[in-house]
Amino acid sequence: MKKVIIEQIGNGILVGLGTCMLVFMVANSHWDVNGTSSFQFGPFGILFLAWLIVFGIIRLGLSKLDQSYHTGEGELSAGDERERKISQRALGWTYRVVFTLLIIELFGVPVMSIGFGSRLVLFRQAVVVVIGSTLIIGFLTYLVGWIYYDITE
Amino acid sequence: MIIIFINNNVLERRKRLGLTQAQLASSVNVTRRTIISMEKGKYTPSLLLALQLAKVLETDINNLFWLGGGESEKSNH
Repeated sequence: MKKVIIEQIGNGILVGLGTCMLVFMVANSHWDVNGTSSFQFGPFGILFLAWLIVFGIIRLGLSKLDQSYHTGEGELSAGDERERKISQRALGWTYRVVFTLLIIELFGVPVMSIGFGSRLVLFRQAVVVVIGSTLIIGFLTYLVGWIYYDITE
Repeated sequence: MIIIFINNNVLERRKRLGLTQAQLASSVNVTRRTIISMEKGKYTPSLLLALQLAKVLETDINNLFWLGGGESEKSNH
Protein backbone atom coordinates (compact mmCIF):
# COMPACT_ATOMS: atom_id res chain seq x y z
CA MET A 1 0.00 0.00 0.00
CA LYS A 2 2.90 2.33 0.86
CA LYS A 3 4.20 2.36 -2.72
CA VAL A 4 0.82 3.36 -4.16
CA ILE A 5 0.35 6.13 -1.56
CA ILE A 6 3.82 7.57 -2.32
CA GLU A 7 3.38 7.24 -6.08
CA GLN A 8 -0.08 8.80 -6.26
CA ILE A 9 0.62 11.65 -3.84
CA GLY A 10 3.84 12.35 -5.75
CA ASN A 11 1.99 12.30 -9.07
CA GLY A 12 -0.70 14.58 -7.65
CA ILE A 13 1.89 17.11 -6.45
CA LEU A 14 3.68 16.92 -9.82
CA VAL A 15 0.52 17.59 -11.82
CA GLY A 16 -0.58 20.25 -9.32
CA LEU A 17 2.69 22.13 -9.73
CA GLY A 18 2.59 21.57 -13.49
CA THR A 19 -0.91 23.04 -13.61
CA CYS A 20 0.15 26.09 -11.58
CA MET A 21 3.17 26.51 -13.85
CA LEU A 22 1.01 26.39 -16.98
CA VAL A 23 -1.55 28.79 -15.50
CA PHE A 24 1.29 31.26 -14.90
CA MET A 25 2.73 30.59 -18.37
CA VAL A 26 -0.59 31.24 -20.11
CA ALA A 27 -0.91 34.61 -18.41
CA ASN A 28 2.70 35.75 -18.83
CA SER A 29 3.85 34.37 -22.16
CA HIS A 30 3.14 35.62 -25.65
CA TRP A 31 3.67 34.63 -29.24
CA ASP A 32 3.41 37.56 -31.62
CA VAL A 33 2.56 37.47 -35.31
CA ASN A 34 5.94 39.00 -36.19
CA GLY A 35 7.68 35.89 -34.87
CA THR A 36 8.83 37.11 -31.47
CA SER A 37 7.89 34.97 -28.53
CA SER A 38 8.41 34.91 -24.80
CA PHE A 39 7.70 32.04 -22.44
CA GLN A 40 7.78 32.46 -18.70
CA PHE A 41 7.31 29.57 -16.32
CA GLY A 42 7.49 31.58 -13.11
CA PRO A 43 8.21 30.32 -9.60
CA PHE A 44 6.05 27.23 -10.12
CA GLY A 45 8.32 26.23 -12.99
CA ILE A 46 11.26 26.03 -10.57
CA LEU A 47 9.15 24.15 -8.01
CA PHE A 48 7.92 21.78 -10.73
CA LEU A 49 11.48 21.03 -11.86
CA ALA A 50 12.67 20.63 -8.26
CA TRP A 51 9.82 18.22 -7.43
CA LEU A 52 10.47 16.30 -10.65
CA ILE A 53 14.04 15.65 -9.46
CA VAL A 54 13.11 14.97 -5.81
CA PHE A 55 10.24 12.66 -6.80
CA GLY A 56 12.53 10.82 -9.20
CA ILE A 57 15.01 10.22 -6.37
CA ILE A 58 12.18 9.10 -4.02
CA ARG A 59 10.94 6.63 -6.65
CA LEU A 60 14.44 5.26 -7.18
CA GLY A 61 14.88 4.87 -3.42
CA LEU A 62 11.51 3.15 -3.12
CA SER A 63 12.41 0.69 -5.88
CA LYS A 64 15.54 -0.27 -3.92
CA LEU A 65 13.66 -0.67 -0.62
CA ASP A 66 10.50 -2.34 -1.94
CA GLN A 67 11.12 -5.27 -4.30
CA SER A 68 7.52 -5.16 -5.52
CA TYR A 69 7.86 -1.58 -6.78
CA HIS A 70 9.20 -0.90 -10.26
CA THR A 71 9.76 2.66 -11.48
CA GLY A 72 8.65 1.69 -14.99
CA GLU A 73 5.30 0.39 -13.76
CA GLY A 74 4.74 3.05 -11.11
CA GLU A 75 1.38 2.78 -9.39
CA LEU A 76 0.63 -0.41 -11.35
CA SER A 77 3.50 -2.25 -9.63
CA ALA A 78 2.24 -5.38 -7.93
CA GLY A 79 3.92 -7.63 -5.41
CA ASP A 80 1.71 -10.62 -6.15
CA GLU A 81 -1.52 -11.75 -7.82
CA ARG A 82 -3.73 -10.14 -5.14
CA GLU A 83 -2.11 -6.73 -5.62
CA ARG A 84 -2.39 -7.15 -9.40
CA LYS A 85 -6.12 -7.76 -8.99
CA ILE A 86 -6.46 -4.74 -6.69
CA SER A 87 -4.62 -2.59 -9.26
CA GLN A 88 -6.98 -3.70 -12.01
CA ARG A 89 -10.05 -2.91 -9.91
CA ALA A 90 -8.70 0.48 -8.81
CA LEU A 91 -7.89 1.18 -12.45
CA GLY A 92 -11.52 0.38 -13.30
CA TRP A 93 -12.69 3.03 -10.81
CA THR A 94 -10.20 5.53 -12.25
CA TYR A 95 -11.27 4.81 -15.82
CA ARG A 96 -14.93 5.44 -14.99
CA VAL A 97 -14.28 8.62 -12.99
CA VAL A 98 -11.82 10.19 -15.46
CA PHE A 99 -13.93 9.43 -18.52
CA THR A 100 -17.09 10.71 -16.82
CA LEU A 101 -15.27 13.94 -15.96
CA LEU A 102 -13.89 14.25 -19.50
CA ILE A 103 -17.37 13.86 -20.98
CA ILE A 104 -18.72 16.50 -18.59
CA GLU A 105 -15.81 18.78 -19.53
CA LEU A 106 -16.40 18.22 -23.23
CA PHE A 107 -19.76 19.90 -22.83
CA GLY A 108 -18.78 22.16 -19.95
CA VAL A 109 -15.80 23.89 -21.55
CA PRO A 110 -17.74 25.36 -24.52
CA VAL A 111 -20.40 26.61 -22.10
CA MET A 112 -17.64 28.01 -19.90
CA SER A 113 -16.14 29.83 -22.91
CA ILE A 114 -19.40 31.74 -23.33
CA GLY A 115 -19.34 32.71 -19.68
CA PHE A 116 -15.77 34.02 -19.87
CA GLY A 117 -16.61 36.21 -22.86
CA SER A 118 -13.64 38.30 -23.98
CA ARG A 119 -11.45 37.31 -21.01
CA LEU A 120 -9.45 34.91 -23.15
CA VAL A 121 -6.49 34.48 -20.81
CA LEU A 122 -8.78 33.62 -17.91
CA PHE A 123 -10.57 31.08 -20.08
CA ARG A 124 -7.28 29.45 -21.12
CA GLN A 125 -6.22 29.28 -17.48
CA ALA A 126 -9.55 27.74 -16.55
CA VAL A 127 -9.11 25.02 -19.20
CA VAL A 128 -5.63 24.20 -17.83
CA VAL A 129 -7.07 24.01 -14.29
CA VAL A 130 -9.90 21.75 -15.45
CA ILE A 131 -7.51 19.31 -17.19
CA GLY A 132 -5.05 19.37 -14.27
CA SER A 133 -7.85 18.79 -11.76
CA THR A 134 -9.15 15.84 -13.77
CA LEU A 135 -5.73 14.20 -13.67
CA ILE A 136 -5.36 14.82 -9.92
CA ILE A 137 -8.85 13.41 -9.30
CA GLY A 138 -7.82 10.39 -11.39
CA PHE A 139 -4.73 9.82 -9.23
CA LEU A 140 -6.75 10.19 -6.04
CA THR A 141 -9.46 7.84 -7.31
CA TYR A 142 -6.86 5.17 -8.03
CA LEU A 143 -5.38 5.68 -4.56
CA VAL A 144 -8.75 5.48 -2.80
CA GLY A 145 -9.75 2.44 -4.88
CA TRP A 146 -6.49 0.69 -4.10
CA ILE A 147 -6.78 1.31 -0.34
CA TYR A 148 -10.45 0.27 -0.37
CA TYR A 149 -9.78 -3.06 -2.09
CA ASP A 150 -6.65 -3.67 -0.03
CA ILE A 151 -8.68 -3.35 3.17
CA THR A 152 -11.77 -5.21 2.01
CA GLU A 153 -10.07 -8.04 0.14
CA MET B 1 -28.77 -15.12 -6.13
CA ILE B 2 -26.51 -17.98 -5.25
CA ILE B 3 -23.27 -16.87 -3.69
CA ILE B 4 -20.49 -19.41 -4.02
CA PHE B 5 -17.39 -18.87 -2.00
CA ILE B 6 -14.34 -20.87 -1.14
CA ASN B 7 -13.43 -22.02 2.34
CA ASN B 8 -9.89 -22.86 3.33
CA ASN B 9 -7.91 -24.10 6.27
CA VAL B 10 -4.62 -22.42 5.40
CA LEU B 11 -4.41 -21.02 8.93
CA GLU B 12 -4.82 -24.43 10.58
CA ARG B 13 -2.31 -26.12 8.25
CA ARG B 14 0.21 -23.31 8.65
CA LYS B 15 0.00 -23.45 12.45
CA ARG B 16 0.26 -27.23 12.44
CA LEU B 17 3.52 -26.97 10.51
CA GLY B 18 4.77 -24.17 12.77
CA LEU B 19 5.16 -21.66 9.95
CA THR B 20 4.77 -17.91 10.36
CA GLN B 21 2.70 -15.90 7.88
CA ALA B 22 5.90 -14.29 6.62
CA GLN B 23 7.58 -17.67 6.07
CA LEU B 24 4.59 -19.02 4.18
CA ALA B 25 4.31 -15.84 2.11
CA SER B 26 7.99 -16.01 1.24
CA SER B 27 7.82 -19.67 0.21
CA VAL B 28 5.01 -19.04 -2.29
CA ASN B 29 6.27 -15.60 -3.41
CA VAL B 30 3.36 -13.50 -2.22
CA THR B 31 3.07 -10.68 0.30
CA ARG B 32 2.23 -11.37 3.95
CA ARG B 33 -0.92 -9.29 3.46
CA THR B 34 -2.14 -11.85 0.92
CA ILE B 35 -1.71 -14.69 3.41
CA ILE B 36 -3.59 -12.68 6.07
CA SER B 37 -6.38 -11.94 3.61
CA MET B 38 -6.60 -15.57 2.56
CA GLU B 39 -6.70 -16.84 6.13
CA LYS B 40 -9.55 -14.44 6.87
CA GLY B 41 -11.38 -15.88 3.86
CA LYS B 42 -11.44 -12.53 2.07
CA TYR B 43 -9.19 -13.46 -0.82
CA THR B 44 -9.58 -16.42 -3.13
CA PRO B 45 -6.21 -17.41 -4.61
CA SER B 46 -5.58 -18.44 -8.19
CA LEU B 47 -5.29 -22.13 -8.99
CA LEU B 48 -1.52 -21.77 -9.32
CA LEU B 49 -1.18 -20.19 -5.88
CA ALA B 50 -3.57 -22.73 -4.37
CA LEU B 51 -1.44 -25.58 -5.73
CA GLN B 52 1.74 -23.94 -4.47
CA LEU B 53 0.19 -23.52 -1.01
CA ALA B 54 -0.93 -27.13 -0.96
CA LYS B 55 2.61 -28.23 -1.78
CA VAL B 56 4.23 -26.02 0.88
CA LEU B 57 1.62 -26.95 3.48
CA GLU B 58 2.11 -30.64 2.62
CA THR B 59 -1.49 -31.42 1.90
CA ASP B 60 -3.86 -32.09 -0.95
CA ILE B 61 -5.48 -29.06 -2.57
CA ASN B 62 -8.93 -30.52 -1.78
CA ASN B 63 -8.08 -30.57 1.90
CA LEU B 64 -6.90 -26.99 1.77
CA PHE B 65 -9.67 -25.41 -0.30
CA TRP B 66 -13.27 -26.41 -0.85
CA LEU B 67 -16.45 -24.84 -2.14
CA GLY B 68 -18.03 -22.91 0.64
CA GLY B 69 -21.11 -23.16 2.63
CA GLY B 70 -21.42 -23.53 6.34
CA GLU B 71 -19.42 -25.13 9.05
CA SER B 72 -20.93 -28.54 8.29
CA GLU B 73 -19.09 -28.70 4.98
CA LYS B 74 -15.86 -27.61 6.63
CA SER B 75 -16.10 -30.34 9.24
CA ASN B 76 -16.11 -32.98 6.49
CA HIS B 77 -12.52 -32.11 5.68
